[in-house]
Amino acid sequence: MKRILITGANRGVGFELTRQYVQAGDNHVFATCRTPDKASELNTLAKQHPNKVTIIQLDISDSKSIESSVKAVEQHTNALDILINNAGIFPKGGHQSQNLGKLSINDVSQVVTTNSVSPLIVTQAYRHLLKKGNNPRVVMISSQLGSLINAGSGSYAYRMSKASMNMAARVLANDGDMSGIITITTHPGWVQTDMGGASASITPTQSATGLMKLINGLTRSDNGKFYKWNGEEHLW
Amino acid sequence: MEYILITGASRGIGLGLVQEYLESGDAYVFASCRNPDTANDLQTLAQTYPNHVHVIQLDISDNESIKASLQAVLEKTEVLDILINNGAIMPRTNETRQFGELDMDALTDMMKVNAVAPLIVTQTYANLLKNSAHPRVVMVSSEMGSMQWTTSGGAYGYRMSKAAMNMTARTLAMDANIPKLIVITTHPGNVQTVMSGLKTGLLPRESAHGLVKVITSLTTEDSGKFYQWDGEEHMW
Repeated sequence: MKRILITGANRGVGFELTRQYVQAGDNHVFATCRTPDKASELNTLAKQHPNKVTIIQLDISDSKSIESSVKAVEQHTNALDILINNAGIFPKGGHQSQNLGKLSINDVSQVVTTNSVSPLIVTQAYRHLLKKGNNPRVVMISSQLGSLINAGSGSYAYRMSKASMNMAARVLANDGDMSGIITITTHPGWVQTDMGGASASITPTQSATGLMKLINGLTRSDNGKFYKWNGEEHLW
Repeated sequence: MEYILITGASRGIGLGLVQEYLESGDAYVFASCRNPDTANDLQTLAQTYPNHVHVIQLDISDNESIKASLQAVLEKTEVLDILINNGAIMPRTNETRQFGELDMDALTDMMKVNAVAPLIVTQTYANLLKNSAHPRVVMVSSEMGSMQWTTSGGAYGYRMSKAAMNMTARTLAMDANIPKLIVITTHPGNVQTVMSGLKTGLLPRESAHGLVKVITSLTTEDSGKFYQWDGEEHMW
């Protein structure tokens, strides 16, 4: 049995990962989201598979909420095999709000903190459970927009936050305090989600299927790498 | 004569850059720092070159302070040729460095000052840069912000903030809002400063001398690149 924690599990890629891990067999998913009461699809899935899904309230931007979530998970298990840092935010005003001239220090900071500092703090909070896991793995759901080599224009806050998230993965992968744990960062594809929009190129199901295959096959030599959803390496 | 704004000009590499430009004779430097009153070395320089340097109070983490600095600059010029985002923090606390002791608020503060603030400062001075015939923006970043260079743990906040700063430079370089703008990010070398705490390595003036040489020779093809103080390109 794999014990998996997924943040932002109420919709999009996070929900699909939850659904597919539940269907894939003997797994138990700790599915976290900010507002479980509003996560109707996730609640339905949990009712259908009460022994395989535990919904946990977690606002990753709030360190107290992170600590509470650890206590809630510890009620069910003393070890985690996979942590998937999937939750992230896109600025409320969309792409337009991220053009030069419209950026505010607090808005950009909020995106950078939630998308990069929070996943690091979540990983830190669960490290003792991961250390007891089988072949423990930490996966960042980042973005190609975090690639420095493949740079583009606009979306300042999001690009900076994902570059920073990738760096968090790089440092975790090389940190002696994380020895025995494999950390990777990923580009989930351009996915048809609330964040990606309807014109995106792949479905959440395709993305989650690819990511699961990648995660299941991870070995020591993958530690610290940046992968696309289809298993290819991504440029830094 | 070129108009140059340097943040974090009270000491270290920032002060070295002010000295280099003043000794070149053909520059007018806006030397900004948080606390001009206690910036003794900078004040001494300002007295030596009263017609070539203007000391400005600027706390880059404070939106109002950024706006006020612009007003102070506008009293002298509507053209800015070179903006050097050099101001940064590197607290020597485990809250930003050591896995297991990382703190969300301390990391958030570091990301804001080191990565988001330089973007907002650049945005604020965009109109003055547009008025220059040869506008350049320089990020004083670090090899610590390089994904490919990262092969050890620790220093999370500094590494993540410098990766995000590098992304800011990459994204600005692709931005069509400021025609002709050349943006680079730099590794100033391992310099003996109060911030680095190094007792061996480059002197601030040596680093600054190299950086000024790089900045002086910049052409359009250099925009979006990552340079070391000695003019060599750095890996991403």
